[in-house]
Amino acid sequence: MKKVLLVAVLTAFAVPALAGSVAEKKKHDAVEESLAKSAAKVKDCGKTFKFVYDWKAFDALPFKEPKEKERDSRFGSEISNVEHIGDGLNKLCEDKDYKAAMSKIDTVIYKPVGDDKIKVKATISGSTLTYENYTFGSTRDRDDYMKAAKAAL
Amino acid sequence: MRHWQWIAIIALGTSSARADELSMQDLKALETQKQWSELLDRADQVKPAARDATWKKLVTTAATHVVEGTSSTTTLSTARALIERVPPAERKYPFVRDDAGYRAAKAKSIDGVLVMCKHDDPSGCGILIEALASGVDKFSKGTARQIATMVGNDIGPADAIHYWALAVVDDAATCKDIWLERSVIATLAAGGDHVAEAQKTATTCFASLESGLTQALIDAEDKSPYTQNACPVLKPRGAMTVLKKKKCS
Repeated sequence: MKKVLLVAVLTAFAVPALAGSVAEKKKHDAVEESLAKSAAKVKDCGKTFKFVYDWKAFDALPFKEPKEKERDSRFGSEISNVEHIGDGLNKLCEDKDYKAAMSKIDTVIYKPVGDDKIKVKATISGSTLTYENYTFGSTRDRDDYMKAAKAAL
Repeated sequence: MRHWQWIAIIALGTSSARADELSMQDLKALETQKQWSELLDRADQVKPAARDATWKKLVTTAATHVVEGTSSTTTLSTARALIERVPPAERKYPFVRDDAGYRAAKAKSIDGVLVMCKHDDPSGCGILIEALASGVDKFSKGTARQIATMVGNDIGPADAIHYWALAVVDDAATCKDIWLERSVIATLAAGGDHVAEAQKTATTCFASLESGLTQALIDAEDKSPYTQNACPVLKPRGAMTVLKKKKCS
């Protein structure tokens, strides 16, 4: 009887923790899936790029209280935010000069930030193009990513 | 018509012209009575040939007193009535703007009006302040930025560039003000007399403005005034991007 009770007690604590991590993973996966679909939209650059979501930056965002609730609500926005990166780069590659510049890029990093001074900003370092996006602003579209890349390339 | 009738008509015409005229003595009487607004309104009624060496001084003194009068008022509406006399007076007597004492009086008056603008309804303050601040190149610390913000809001971003340029000299942190960026971009896009001032401000504040200037360049047409005016600032600074090669060569 004691053993049954102990198992019951342990299960009661373990299930929510397990459910939390599964739910968290599902949210991560949904963002990653959106990013992968976005990467697949790049067809006119003559090459493919490795798209990376910067989860460390996501965890470091200045979420408002209650932080967990605010953090949870951001996943949906991030699915939309990363959706058009590929469209933007594809549009950029319609111009041969930008296509040539993109040939030197291998990796595209998306980094959500809490700095409201920027909207979407692209920087180039070696063969990496990093997008910083003020994630608490409006959802970004194709032109936002295209213009940001134009400013940096 | 008989001769005496002609003489009467000519005499009437002459006396009517004389009624509009003032002598230097009349002007000096207005000075003695401290009727500064009237003196300012009517000083041009002294015929040029009748103006002696003191005429300019009298006008400048009157203009200075009118401007100083705004400092002793306590309400914005009273100040407004005085300030509205300033631009027409400066157009009529442009030499007053060369007088250091007059400019100093305007700068002092602006400080008082800014305080009133903060307490009373600030709508339209930009227009009022611009009327007073025009031609003044030295303000107390922090004033130029306040003027720039008000003028930008009430008149337009490009009209505020002169004050933003002064505000940056006053305090380098002003470079981070988003309204300064808008003013610089609007002025470069509009072209005209203040482009050099906008370019100088853009150069001074380049680290803060580079991103905004570049985004505006992306949206600008190749031969547009913005492209022509922004390229001399952007091209020699920062990385030589594809965008600069395409638009600034």
